[in-house]
Amino acid sequence: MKILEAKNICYSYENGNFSLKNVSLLLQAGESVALIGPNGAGKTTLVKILAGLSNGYDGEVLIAGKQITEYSNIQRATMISYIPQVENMPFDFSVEDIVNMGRRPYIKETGIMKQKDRDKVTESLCYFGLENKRFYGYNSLSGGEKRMVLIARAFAQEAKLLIMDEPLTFLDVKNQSELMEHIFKLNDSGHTILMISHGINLASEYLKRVILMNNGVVEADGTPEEVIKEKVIRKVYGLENFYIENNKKTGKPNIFMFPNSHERSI
Amino acid sequence: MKSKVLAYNCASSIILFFLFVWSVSSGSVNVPISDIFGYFTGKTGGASYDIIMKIRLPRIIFAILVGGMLSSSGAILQALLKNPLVDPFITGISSGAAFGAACAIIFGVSGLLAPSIAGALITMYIVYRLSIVFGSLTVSRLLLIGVMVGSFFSSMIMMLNAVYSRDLVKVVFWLMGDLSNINPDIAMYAIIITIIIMIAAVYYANDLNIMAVGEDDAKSLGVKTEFIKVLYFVFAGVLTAISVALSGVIGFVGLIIPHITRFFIGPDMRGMIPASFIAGAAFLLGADTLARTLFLPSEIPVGVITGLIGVPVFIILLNTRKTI
Repeated sequence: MKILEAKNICYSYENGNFSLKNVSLLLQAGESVALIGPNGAGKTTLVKILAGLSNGYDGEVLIAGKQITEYSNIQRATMISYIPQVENMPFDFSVEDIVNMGRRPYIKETGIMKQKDRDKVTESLCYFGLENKRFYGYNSLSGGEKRMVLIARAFAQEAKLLIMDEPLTFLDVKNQSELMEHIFKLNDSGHTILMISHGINLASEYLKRVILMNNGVVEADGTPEEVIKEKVIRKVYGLENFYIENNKKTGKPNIFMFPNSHERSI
Repeated sequence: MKSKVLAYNCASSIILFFLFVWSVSSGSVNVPISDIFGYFTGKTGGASYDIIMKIRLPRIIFAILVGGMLSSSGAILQALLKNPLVDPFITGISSGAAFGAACAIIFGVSGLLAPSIAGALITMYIVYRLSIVFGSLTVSRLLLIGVMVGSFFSSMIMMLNAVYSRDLVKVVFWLMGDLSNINPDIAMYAIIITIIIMIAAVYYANDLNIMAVGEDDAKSLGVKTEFIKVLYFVFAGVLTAISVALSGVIGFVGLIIPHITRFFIGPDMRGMIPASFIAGAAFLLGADTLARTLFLPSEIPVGVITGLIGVPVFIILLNTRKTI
């Protein structure tokens, strides 16, 4: 079943610096997709349009077969959850406050929650191991915990499509692995995942499809094996000092870098 | 959260009550507390009755109202602009409102509220638009532009005053704030508008909380972000404008009080807006009582007291933050 479809998306900033050029893509329900590409390729611009956060583009975005603009804000929020990069918040809301916000599409403006909303918040906190930190301030958490809180909020939001903007940034290896395990579990439980990532190897290991963008166009789209190829990576990233080898445990393609000086010394 | 808000509001209300008693009894004529209770329980007459009922009590009520409005306005602006260093004074909105009101007086326009509100909203729009670079708001730019626009309007008020009236007392009133010359004609409108705004502001405060986390977050969670932004800008602008029309430009109440309130009860605006109102009311009542009793028989503008407290607090806040 089609959950999201973008047709011929074109976008340019007011200063004319950057644009998306005729980007089309289709996401089926239950897919897990990594959006990769160099800095400035247009990944964040594209996901904001797909999440219904940006206007002023040409082309169409369809959610479950209907134009995204035909949905009210609340209806859209029950179908798509956008998880931005938030390192620190200007005001130190508690973990529980943040996860409560995930219930906004189901409650009135006053923010008064019913028992089922409170239960969903507790379920979300427990699912992501945050029940002991529910009264902690968001800004006092580690980078990994902060990402978990935002994903817990999206879980409480009960949207089936989760769009994430670089959730792995600033995380150490263990936190990256834990976060990807959670994303994997979410996908297993029926959520469709679209995440921007600079971690090509993790994307290859955990997600079933990779979309590679460059200069505002989709350069390659397919399984990790189809996209993560030396020729493609060399062209898009302009990189020479690397090789690709399949992970011995999983068989997935991984990129290995080496310093230019290494070749010289040989 | 609720218990913290309740405790804070109780503490603020008790402080407000004691300040009220102190303020009623203090001044050029000191009135014994027993007489004050007598006046409020039906006793009339006596030498100090008129002083209390006709001079001090109206001034106290206006101090409470103006303090509450400025503080709530500051709390709203801080959440909207996602920065605890802004207030109606620093962003130039108060000066814009004062300029609107000053124009109305000089050019003989009847009613102060509408020109004052127009001045505040236009200034707010100018400062906000000028602070946006490539689609995103820069707070350091907003603070600088706010201070500049505020200075510009202060200069304009002084110039208008020099050309048309030459009354230095009026200039001091508009630029430093003063609760001794309250205009009672606009008081009833002010109270009604303030009550309506406070109820609406608390009603939509959950959406303002989500906006304070981030605009993309809010949109993604179903909040009508443009509606909330305009609504609260208007609320903050109107509250500031009314307080300026009543008492001139009183700085820093909207900076200090929301900050202290947030420290005690957390950032949830559903609690912050009413709690800031009560605490702001108590703060300005205390400041005004000091302003009129510190150097008896003369008195100083209340803005001098709030400025003397506000500027060091602003510098301390700036130093405790890594970024503006």
